[in-house]
Amino acid sequence: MKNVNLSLRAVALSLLLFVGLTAFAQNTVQGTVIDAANGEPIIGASILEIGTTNGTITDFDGNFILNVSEGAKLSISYMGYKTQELEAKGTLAVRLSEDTEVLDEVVVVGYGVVRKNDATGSVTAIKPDEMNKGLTTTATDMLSGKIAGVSVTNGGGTPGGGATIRIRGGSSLNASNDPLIVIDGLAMDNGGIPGAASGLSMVNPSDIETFTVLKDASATAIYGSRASNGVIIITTKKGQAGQKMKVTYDGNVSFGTLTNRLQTLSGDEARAYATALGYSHDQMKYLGTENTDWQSQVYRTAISTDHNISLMGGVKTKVADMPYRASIGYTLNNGTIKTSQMQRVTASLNLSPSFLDKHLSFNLNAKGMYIYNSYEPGVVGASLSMDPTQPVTVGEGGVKGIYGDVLMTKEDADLMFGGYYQPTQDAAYGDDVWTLAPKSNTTMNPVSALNQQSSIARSAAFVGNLEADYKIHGFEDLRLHANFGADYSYGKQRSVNLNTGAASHYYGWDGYEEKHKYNLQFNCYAQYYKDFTDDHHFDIMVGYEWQHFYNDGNSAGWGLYPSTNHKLVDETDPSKGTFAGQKANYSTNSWASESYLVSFFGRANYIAFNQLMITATFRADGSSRFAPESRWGYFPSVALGWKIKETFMKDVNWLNDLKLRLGYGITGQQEGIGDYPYLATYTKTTNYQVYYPVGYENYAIENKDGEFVDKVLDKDDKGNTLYYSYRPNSYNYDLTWEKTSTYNAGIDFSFLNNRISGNIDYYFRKTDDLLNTVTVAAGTNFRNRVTSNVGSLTNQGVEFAINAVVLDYGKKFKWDLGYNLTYNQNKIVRLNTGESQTAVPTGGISSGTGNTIQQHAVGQASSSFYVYEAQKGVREDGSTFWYVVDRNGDEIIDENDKYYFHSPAAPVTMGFQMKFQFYDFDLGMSFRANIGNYVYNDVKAANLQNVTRENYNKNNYVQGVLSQCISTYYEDNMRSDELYASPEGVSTKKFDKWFQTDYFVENATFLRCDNITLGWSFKRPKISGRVYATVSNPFVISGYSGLDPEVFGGIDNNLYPRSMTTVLGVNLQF
Amino acid sequence: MKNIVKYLALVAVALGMASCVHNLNTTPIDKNSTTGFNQDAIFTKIYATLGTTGQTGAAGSGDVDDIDEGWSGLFRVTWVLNGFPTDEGWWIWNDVGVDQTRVMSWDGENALIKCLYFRCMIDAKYCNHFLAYADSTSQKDLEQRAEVRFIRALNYWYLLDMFKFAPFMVKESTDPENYPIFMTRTELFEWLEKELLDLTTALPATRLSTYRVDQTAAWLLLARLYLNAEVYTGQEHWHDAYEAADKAIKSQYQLHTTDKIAKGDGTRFSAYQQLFMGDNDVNGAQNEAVLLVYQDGKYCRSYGGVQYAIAATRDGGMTPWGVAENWKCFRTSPEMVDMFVTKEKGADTIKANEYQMPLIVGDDRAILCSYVEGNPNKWKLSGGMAADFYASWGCPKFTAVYSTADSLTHALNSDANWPDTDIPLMRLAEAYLTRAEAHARENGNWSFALEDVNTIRDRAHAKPLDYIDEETMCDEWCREFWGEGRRRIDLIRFNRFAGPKADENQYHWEGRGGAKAFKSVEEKFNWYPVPSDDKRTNPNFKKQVIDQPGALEGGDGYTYAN
Repeated sequence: MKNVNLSLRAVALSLLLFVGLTAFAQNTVQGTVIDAANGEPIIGASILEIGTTNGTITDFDGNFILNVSEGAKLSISYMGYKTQELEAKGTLAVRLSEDTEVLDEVVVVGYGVVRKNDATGSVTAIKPDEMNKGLTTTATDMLSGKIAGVSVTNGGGTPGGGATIRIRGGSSLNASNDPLIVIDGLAMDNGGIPGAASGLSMVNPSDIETFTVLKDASATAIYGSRASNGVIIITTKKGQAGQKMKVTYDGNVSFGTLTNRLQTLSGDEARAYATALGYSHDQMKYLGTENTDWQSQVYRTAISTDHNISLMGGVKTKVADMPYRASIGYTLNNGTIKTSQMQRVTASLNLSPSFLDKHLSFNLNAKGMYIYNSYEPGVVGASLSMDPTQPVTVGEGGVKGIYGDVLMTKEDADLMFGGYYQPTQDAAYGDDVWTLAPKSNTTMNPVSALNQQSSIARSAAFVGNLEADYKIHGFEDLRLHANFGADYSYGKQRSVNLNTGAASHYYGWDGYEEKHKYNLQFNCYAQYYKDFTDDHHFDIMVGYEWQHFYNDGNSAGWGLYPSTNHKLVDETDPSKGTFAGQKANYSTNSWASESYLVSFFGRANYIAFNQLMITATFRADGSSRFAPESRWGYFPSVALGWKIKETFMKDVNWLNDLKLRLGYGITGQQEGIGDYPYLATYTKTTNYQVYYPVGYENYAIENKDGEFVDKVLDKDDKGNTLYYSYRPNSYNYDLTWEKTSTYNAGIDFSFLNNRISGNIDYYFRKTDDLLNTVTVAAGTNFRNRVTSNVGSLTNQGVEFAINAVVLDYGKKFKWDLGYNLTYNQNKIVRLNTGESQTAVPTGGISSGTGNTIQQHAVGQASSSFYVYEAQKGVREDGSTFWYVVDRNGDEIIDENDKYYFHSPAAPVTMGFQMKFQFYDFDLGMSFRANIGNYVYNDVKAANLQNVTRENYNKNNYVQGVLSQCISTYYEDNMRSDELYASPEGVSTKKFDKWFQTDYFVENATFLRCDNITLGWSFKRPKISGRVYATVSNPFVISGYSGLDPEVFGGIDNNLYPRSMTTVLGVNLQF
Repeated sequence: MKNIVKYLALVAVALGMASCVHNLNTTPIDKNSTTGFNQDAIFTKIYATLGTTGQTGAAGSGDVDDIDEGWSGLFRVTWVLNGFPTDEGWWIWNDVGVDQTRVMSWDGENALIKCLYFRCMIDAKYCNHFLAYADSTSQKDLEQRAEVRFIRALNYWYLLDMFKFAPFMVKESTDPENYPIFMTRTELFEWLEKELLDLTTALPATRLSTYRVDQTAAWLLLARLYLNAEVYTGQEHWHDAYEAADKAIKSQYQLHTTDKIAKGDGTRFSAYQQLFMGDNDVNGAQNEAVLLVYQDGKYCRSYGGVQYAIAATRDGGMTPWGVAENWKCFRTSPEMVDMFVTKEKGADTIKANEYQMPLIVGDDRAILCSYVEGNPNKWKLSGGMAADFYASWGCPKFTAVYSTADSLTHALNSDANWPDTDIPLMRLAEAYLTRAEAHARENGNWSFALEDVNTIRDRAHAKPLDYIDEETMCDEWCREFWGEGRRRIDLIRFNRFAGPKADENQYHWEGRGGAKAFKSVEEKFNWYPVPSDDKRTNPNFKKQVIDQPGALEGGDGYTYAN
């Protein structure tokens, strides 16, 4: 109908032109475009005569002049504002208002978009809040606390470090629990490379336009095999057709400081403590005279900067529209631990031209990245346990003990330790010059480690894809879409330890690890739309996808025998010389692997009366990781949406929207199991340190230069011929997909003129055929644990999210609130085949070798703490002591007395954002809370052992001790050397698994303020922008006794501390 | 234009769809991973299981799951289970599974017992795999097959010795439902006897290289089997033990008897000490080692091999031992010191390091230390279950120092941290003591043991005995073989471990049952329980062990419900 109308009008226009020859052929229209909210002129708004390519843009004052045909209509648009259509006559004063519903209208789903109103799945889209974002070095920083059901835990304060994202709990035990990340239509491989933690590191946060999180199976099942843990779709910013070029600059400088640290004994306190322990003269004489605060020696205030420039706009020609955006960013992120630093350069380009009257459109994305990452050598723990009575470096006269004995001479320190202090013992190097070695089982001087070890990763990545979309001419209801993408990355990490450092003393170490990987992807689909009548809309999509994942890598490293080494290569033949100058500890490895995924998928939507919506999807995935018989997995889903408002409540004015969503679907999992788990393979010896001199032809493979060459005869120093070996690997031919079924019910609502909107969802997810490394009967396979499809677990929970505009006085004052809450309960249902169910120990801790603190067990949450119960008793004299409860009452304390005590994952998580706007000022705040998460304080448990009389002076070397461990030991009487196996009267046997008691598992509920931001915006004729100040991570409120209650996995073992960061920044637009 | 685009689009879609499903048939592209059977490389692996724990250095690609890789070495885990619950000493750290094994209170969940069980079964599985593929009748195949069968037999012998019911499988199978059967000790004994007797001729007469085995290894293992036959089956085989040991003694192997003095510092390396030194594959000791396990500082490293025996017994400040690692976590018990010198004879007053001690005590096998010049830590003989490395003497039997070293500080070891010392996993001295004991028991007269016992004592410069009884014989086993992973076996055979017969002997050390005074320890602790994991996963356990009438009453003593 519309087309006909237009045609009639065109005919009429032509007639007019014909008839009125003397009349004006053209009118001149002029006008001004201003922002409806603040009256400021809008620069660069585009004015287009509808139906033609005739157009212009506004100047710096928002003015425009355009010659148009008589009776023409104008379209006035500007990115982020609602487009207006007006009659072209006279002087126009156009007031554009911001389009706050851009996101609400359309959401991205797998292989397509859907109108938000018509979405049937649990889909949350957010546009990163530019005004209230805190410090965002990586994309994950922008997600933290913002979406119900999405929990983000970063790995600590490592610059550019990774984060763990969990959507609705973890669906798996041993396979991957990471969500699928899709950037501009390209599904990323989630593995990292040296220098870059994960696939998400590939995108600069300032290029991100939206995050869309698909949570339930009706939304994710279209991604099938990789979607069991949800999908995060990232769309980057794009230019707009006809838009004038806009230049933006974002930059900031930030200052990171540590606001909290663990207190340790000072040198004076350490000496006083040794005296109080009643140590003998011999034990005391190794104490030094200094007061060294080792933590101050390793931490610093870190100054970082971040700069991003982008150009965007749209070229308009007769042949094509060509929106473009290009950006370049540079980040320098210094860590609060000295020497840790990340530098990153990113560049991105987006071109989205369309041709042939928008029938054919392309979308080209290219992103490049280069990262330089210098890692600190792991000094957090060392800075706590290093002896505070000793100096950092050895000065004139050497290091003296408190009785004047020389503990280390300056000459020795300079010669063998780079001038640094280090506890030593006699060396066995076979060298008359290097007579000292670092004392074993003592802490490495952390300052020496910082300055004598380096580990630097350099990596580069390229991610690009080209999408083509074609609406068939003459049959516009059918659309064909194809997407070619590639993700290539390369990283190399080089680690150098000087031979004067304690880590690789004498020989030193120079090694590297190098990784390449790529991921090639092709998909295409055809989509057919049909509106049978106004009341019945139908569309169907079918598609195909092919993905190839490849990675390879190699590593090598060695030390060198110093020139002073006098050991003979062959004891029986001195003419062969000494080891001096030869490689030591040579080690090398290389690997390569690949996998393929081939998929067919489809989706059908049916919408009736704009009230009822039904979506069904189906995907079949074939994975090269499974045997042909079990290779294909089928992942269906169905969902129903019902717009209650449209059905019953059309007249209820205060209610803007009320929608019910019900969904069910199945998703799959094939990650984390290696690439060939079904094939019988052998693993070759991959290190020069495990050869065996028994064999025939399979000689070891090191040539004289230490290169990797096959079939080169090698012998050990005594002339034994060395051979490599092949180990048969375990395999499981029957292995197949792990499958998760999800049920979801949700309600979306908005009322009071959309000022309050939100949603509530309930979900139940059950994962069956877990890809689980289970124990198999001895003798049935080549290992005792084999990856099998055994067990199931469930996650169920409730999500609630609400956004409200509390007060709105237009430009004068506005108050926005956002709040989300998630409750998730994780439970293991089955762990193995057969009737009885055993538990699987997990969660290694640092006390002893091989000890664990957690267990996967049926009926419990994954990784629940499995501990002894410690109870406080009172002796007759009133003093207190701790004992271990004999929970099963058999008068023996053993493994059977352990019990399950909470789990590391918080059942309740919350996010809370607030924003005030007062004229040109804005103030934003973000908070996050985890409630009921538990953490094993491994730092404290490990350090508590150092307090005892037996261990404080360990092998003539004093340990650094946490002040809180002194009070734990003496005030709370939790004594690692005295803990009783049961209360006095039953047994007085001392109990040496005290570190596995619930005493050290603490409730780590916390409220964290993620950031507070104050900003001031301005708009001038040629420039607009905002300056702001942010404090990121200003405080955490928690009762946890360790440094930071937020520890993924629940075992706190010397996390790189998270700093408080003050950011001063500016955004400018030209 | 429109049409071109239309057709191009259709062609692209069609091409894309049609291709690539065949990509799903992949094979490994990694040169470290292969699908082809490489006979020699797997043969090497089978021998390497004796001295290494995985495919990537000392840690990183272990063979056995659910255990720290360092504990999973065959030598270490057998050493632990035959040593921790005995009077040999006390492991002081709280590593997983240790607390139960030190005081004889283990159960089927114990990580160390599980580790041993699976280590042996995985090794046997490698052997079965090899035997299924390397099946030609070439000379090389026949040799290799016999050697692989011997290593499999050795693993099954450990299972026989440690467990009351052992899983058993000698055929290669790729069917996950093909479960090993459970054998009683009698059944496994009979299989091992037959297998080893066959190997006494199938194996090469002399070993093809230092680290391989020949017929003597079969005779010596057979002697061990026969000596303990009564424990295993209730049936004595004293004469068979005598004969088998005699065959071993009359082989080309011989006791190492040459002492050496270091030219530089005058340290005396006794012939006995040399069995446990860095060059024990070339210093003559290799002629006593019937099965020598390779270890090398540069090329063969493992925390489950000799490194463990060396580092665990060392603390900084002790007499130099050629490498740097010291874990200070294993020391003697006072009862073990008693074997060489009692408190009555003034043990408390002796101040000597491990090179002085043999001279003071008059027995080269007393490689113990009570004092080291310059080390302020004081060894006591207080013992007990204290987590104190100095609560009883040090036991630094293995060392990385070469017997050709000029001095202890010029050890000649090829690496500063990793020892070159090989492990004499089976050595000829065992044949002498076996012949002695079997001879005496067969004739019901301990004096029959004197000659062979004195041969062994003579090599150690210990005074010859003129009288011997059961207790002395038991102690003599300890004096010769302490710290080599067999004490539990001898204590059981001499009724000094657990059960009613042990109650009669009243032999006591503090770790025994975890009590200061002698207490009765249930008989079931004479063997280890089948790990819960395997009871659950192998249905044959229920069929063949639980559901058998009388099995539970048969003295097994373990609750098998679940």
